[in-house]
Amino acid sequence: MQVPGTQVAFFVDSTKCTNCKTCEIACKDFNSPDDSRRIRRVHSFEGGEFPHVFAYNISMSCNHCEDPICVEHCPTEAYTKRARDGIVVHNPQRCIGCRYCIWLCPYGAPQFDPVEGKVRKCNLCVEELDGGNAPVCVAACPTRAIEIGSLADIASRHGATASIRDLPPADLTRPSCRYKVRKEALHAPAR
Amino acid sequence: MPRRASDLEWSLTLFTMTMQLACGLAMAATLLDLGMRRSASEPVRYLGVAVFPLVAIGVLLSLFHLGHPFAAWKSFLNFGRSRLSLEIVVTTIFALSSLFYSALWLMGIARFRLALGTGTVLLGLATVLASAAIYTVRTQPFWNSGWLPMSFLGTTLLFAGLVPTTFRGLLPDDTSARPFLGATMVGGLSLLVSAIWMFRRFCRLGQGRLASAHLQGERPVLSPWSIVPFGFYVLLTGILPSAIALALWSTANDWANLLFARFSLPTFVLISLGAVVGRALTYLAGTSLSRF
Amino acid sequence: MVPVSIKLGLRAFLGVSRTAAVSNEAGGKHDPSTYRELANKPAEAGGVRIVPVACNNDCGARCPLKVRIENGRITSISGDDSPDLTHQLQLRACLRGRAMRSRVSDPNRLKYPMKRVGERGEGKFKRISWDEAVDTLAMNLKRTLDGYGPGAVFIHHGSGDLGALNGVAAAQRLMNLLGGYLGYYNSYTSACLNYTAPFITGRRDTNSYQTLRHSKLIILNGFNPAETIFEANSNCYLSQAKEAGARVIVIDPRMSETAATFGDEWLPLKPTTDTALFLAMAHVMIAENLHDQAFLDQYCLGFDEDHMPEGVPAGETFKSHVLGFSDGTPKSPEWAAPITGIEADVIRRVAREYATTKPAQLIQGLGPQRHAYGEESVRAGIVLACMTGNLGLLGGGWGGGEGSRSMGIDVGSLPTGMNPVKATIPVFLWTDAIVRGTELGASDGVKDGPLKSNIKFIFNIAGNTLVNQHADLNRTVRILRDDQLVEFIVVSDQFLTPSAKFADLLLPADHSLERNDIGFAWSGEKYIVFGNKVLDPPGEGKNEYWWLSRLAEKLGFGQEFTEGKTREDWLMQIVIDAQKADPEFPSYEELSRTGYYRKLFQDHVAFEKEIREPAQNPFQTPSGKIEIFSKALYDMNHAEIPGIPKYIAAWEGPEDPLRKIYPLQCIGPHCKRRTNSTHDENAWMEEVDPARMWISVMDAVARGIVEGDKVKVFNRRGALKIRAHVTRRIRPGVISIPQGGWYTPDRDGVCQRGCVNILTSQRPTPLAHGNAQHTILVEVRRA
Repeated sequence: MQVPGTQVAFFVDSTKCTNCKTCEIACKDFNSPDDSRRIRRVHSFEGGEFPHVFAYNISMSCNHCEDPICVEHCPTEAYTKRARDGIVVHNPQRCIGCRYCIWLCPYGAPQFDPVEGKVRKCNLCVEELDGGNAPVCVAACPTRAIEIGSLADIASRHGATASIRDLPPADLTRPSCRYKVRKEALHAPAR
Repeated sequence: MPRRASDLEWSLTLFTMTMQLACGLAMAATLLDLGMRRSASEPVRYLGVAVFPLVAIGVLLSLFHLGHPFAAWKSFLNFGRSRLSLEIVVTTIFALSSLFYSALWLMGIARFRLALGTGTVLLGLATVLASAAIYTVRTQPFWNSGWLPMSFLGTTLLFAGLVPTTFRGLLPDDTSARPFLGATMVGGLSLLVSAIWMFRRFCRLGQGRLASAHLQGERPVLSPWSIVPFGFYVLLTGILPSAIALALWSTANDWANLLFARFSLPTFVLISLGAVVGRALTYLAGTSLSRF
Repeated sequence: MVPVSIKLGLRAFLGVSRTAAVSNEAGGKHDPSTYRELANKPAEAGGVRIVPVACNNDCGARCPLKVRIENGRITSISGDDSPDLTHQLQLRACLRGRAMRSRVSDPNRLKYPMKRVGERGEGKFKRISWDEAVDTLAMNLKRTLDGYGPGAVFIHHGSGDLGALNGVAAAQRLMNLLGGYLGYYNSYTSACLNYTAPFITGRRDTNSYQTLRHSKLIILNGFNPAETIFEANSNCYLSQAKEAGARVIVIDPRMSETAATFGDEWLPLKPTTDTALFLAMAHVMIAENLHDQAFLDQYCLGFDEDHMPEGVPAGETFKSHVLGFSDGTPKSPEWAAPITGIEADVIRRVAREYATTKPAQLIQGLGPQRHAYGEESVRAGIVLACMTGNLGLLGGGWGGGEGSRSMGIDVGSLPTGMNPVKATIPVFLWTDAIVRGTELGASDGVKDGPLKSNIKFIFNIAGNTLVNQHADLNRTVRILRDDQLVEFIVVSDQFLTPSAKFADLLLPADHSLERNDIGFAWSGEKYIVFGNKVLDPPGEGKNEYWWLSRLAEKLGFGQEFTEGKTREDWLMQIVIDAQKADPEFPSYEELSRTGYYRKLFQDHVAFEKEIREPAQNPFQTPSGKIEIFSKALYDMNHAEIPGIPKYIAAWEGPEDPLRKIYPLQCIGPHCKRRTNSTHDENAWMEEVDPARMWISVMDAVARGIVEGDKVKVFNRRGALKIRAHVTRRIRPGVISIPQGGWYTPDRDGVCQRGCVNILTSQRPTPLAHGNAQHTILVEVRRA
């Protein structure tokens, strides 16, 4: 599925995303069925004035950033960025539940469960990937809005952006994700 | 995400508070030790002895924050890269140093006490700065600013000055109160400045966040009523200590001395409470600005 | 409230190890734990199986799913893994089917047969044995049959399980052997649509959603597949259509997910006024001569005076009505604007666009026809499509949401036999049939009546219509509470639903994961699914066929009911019969292994033959044409059933003077987290989409309501409490409460869980006698 040494990235076509939450549930079923976590989350935004209203949905799990701040600052080295595909993998065995990563991550990717006392995060379904299957959210999305591919390829697609209104600036951690969004969702010009 | 009371982060609030208090006490004790030329007066001893228990309590409180406290030792592993790991290492060394320092005070041993005290103070300051460094990261624009180390150091200085000021018995005579009054004033003013700085930053960043919360149809956890505890914090930690220090500056100011003598303990408690409230509020403000 | 971190710390200090508890917890985790494990794919050891199962909820899909079983426990669910090809898309399941684990393992599953203690509706039960349950059932059924006759037995509308061998079918089969039962026609789903469309086009049919990619313009009227899932891939086809350049206009009081994602334009009209909008659009087309006169001349009856049936006076044509010749009121955009809330120039522009675009598809969802005078909006929609000539074209047509099963695969279900009782009621009037069944007549919609008895005995199987999904709940429960009216109610369900609380005998049912079964898609794709049994029901849960067989035995019809077959045997018989009809149909073993049988689907164009070869293929109407004017309806001589579609101001609509007291219109759309009322109990669904009432910014501000506030919604019939979602995405003057929440009354009867039916009315629509459950007026206050 991926060329060795290439950063894997998510591409989400938000213009097809209907906020159905199937990706959230498919991910939850696979990763965290017994707790309150939703490792992939869809956030819905709206704007404009009635009746000229717009709305859009951003589905996000972990962006496997090129400059992942979680990897840098996790005190127990529970995060590792895989060399061959850039997937940031969280190892629950090392996690002590300090939740620093939750605080650091601009995207809310790590999720803490008080019962388990640890954090979990999207690991891009590495088991599935290594077995030649698609990540669960990619396979589940009814409108095929979520894809993965090499970052270089995805970033070069028409309309692909990581600069979305209300998302953190992309230069902080350089997320390996790109979205296709409606024009109203693009980053507002700097004040 | 719904906001909960746990966003007040009690364990971290109290952890940073106790570390800063411990460091402040160590500063006060060392300074008094310096001025006393080896004759340890009983009350100063309490100051010195209190340092390690406070550090220990602080460390224990911070463990409450963890999902797996008994695995806390793993947090040393990323010492070279992680700010948190570094802070934990520094705190541990500070704890060890303060253990010996407090032991010296407890056992009444004056030898090496000044040197160890100085070392403990430096380690304490390193701990305070390292804990500030945890927060001033690029992905947290609200915290990534000078107000935070100013607030942490200011709190340390405030406690360094306030404890001896409040517990007059610690001081050999009145004139030696001035360094501590000075520390109280500088500490208080730093907190005042950092509070205003923090508030301005919150307003600027919060504008965007509040706008996006509105866009998402959320109601942020902070309301206009939050200005009340914030004002409480500013009054009690910024203005009151500085005012007290000013009032007590001249030893001839009898009514100030008398007033303070009567209400010193409640005042101390109130100021400490204000500091805790302010710290907790800071966490609340910070977490309410997180986006996703 | 104790902060999380301190609670944690205390637990740790008490030495309670949470990690061990969690990872040993069976049935839970697929755990991608250590880095070592992550680096290597875990071997598919002997204890792992992947088994196809079915989701048989009442939605428009019917998705093939698979469960992964490790050491006898389900660890995850996956979907269709056949290749995802453009001409044969995977059938991807939605969030609800994927959350079935949370439902099937819910500790609140009913486990034992129970009998009522206390008052009916209190929900107090005592456990009994299956033997006693069957005996009780036999005794009461016999007593009813002897005392009142088979027409006193009502098998309620239950769509919680739509498998081939579902319990409702089994009950019908049994009752047909015992003399019959009071049947019904219509559904809560599509009463007006199903009843009315045949008057105009003879039969109902819809272009398949695959053809949307050929459409240049798609108008969706109250159609929200993004949440309701009309077929597994309807949303994918919509997005393909957009990619191919289609423009999508959505007509809906709220900006549904469909409108938000796929809509290029949103017309936020007032509920119940769709007909007015369509008439105004027709006016524009006529006034500007944009309509397809050739189409109307060739295929339609009733548009103008030249194409009317014999014996009808002048002035009854659609054209004369729209132009205002017959009643002095031209149905212009200026007339429609204040009625619909859509600006006149918008109506004009959209009308022009529709008239001048071919192929264009108009799809009317099931929402607008669940309103007062829902019949008229259905008729007006068809007429408008005809006026633009958009019928029977690839990418151009009219659709009423769901298609028909004739597009599917021919597989049977449990044969139920013939019902000797001929009388039927419109399903929505069942509470009337309890109170005054024998007095109901043809004007109430009774067919082949009169009823020989009121309803005395109710089977409520896999359904929540007994209480939750019916209208005017306060009235409904008052009627049900009286055990002199309905003397016996037997309920079979997986959970203690609001309906189950009214049982006299409550029986625990199995889940689709706990039995083998076949599921049918609604239409649009050619496939059936096979679900394997992978779990045992909890406690003593049983499939309805099991206890109905014993009941049959008790009543002396055991052999006739079962024909010596177990449930499994029936399933195999269905497969054998299917193989006879289709040589490519797989064997039972293969079906069980693969989980579904699918044939390549060709684009389906509704009424293609009728349009292409009209002489050989007349429409199945009395005149052989599309009856814009229907003599059959005209001859009914009913003020609310005109010969041509007319806008009639709805009771409890925007023009009702009742708005002085209850100013807000309330609609109750289906939502993504439930299938009707199924999954309301599902914890995962509660996480992703907790109950929220949508209210416009303006209406919220006027009432001092902010996001998340608890509000009370009330009218004369009842009240409920729910949290508010303040949004721009709904028209001021309208609120939206997602239907299906479970009726949970407090001491004062106020529903705490937002069941919209405590506010709805039991007044039926005039022609179809269908449910007008979206037509409500309410007021909202902060609670």
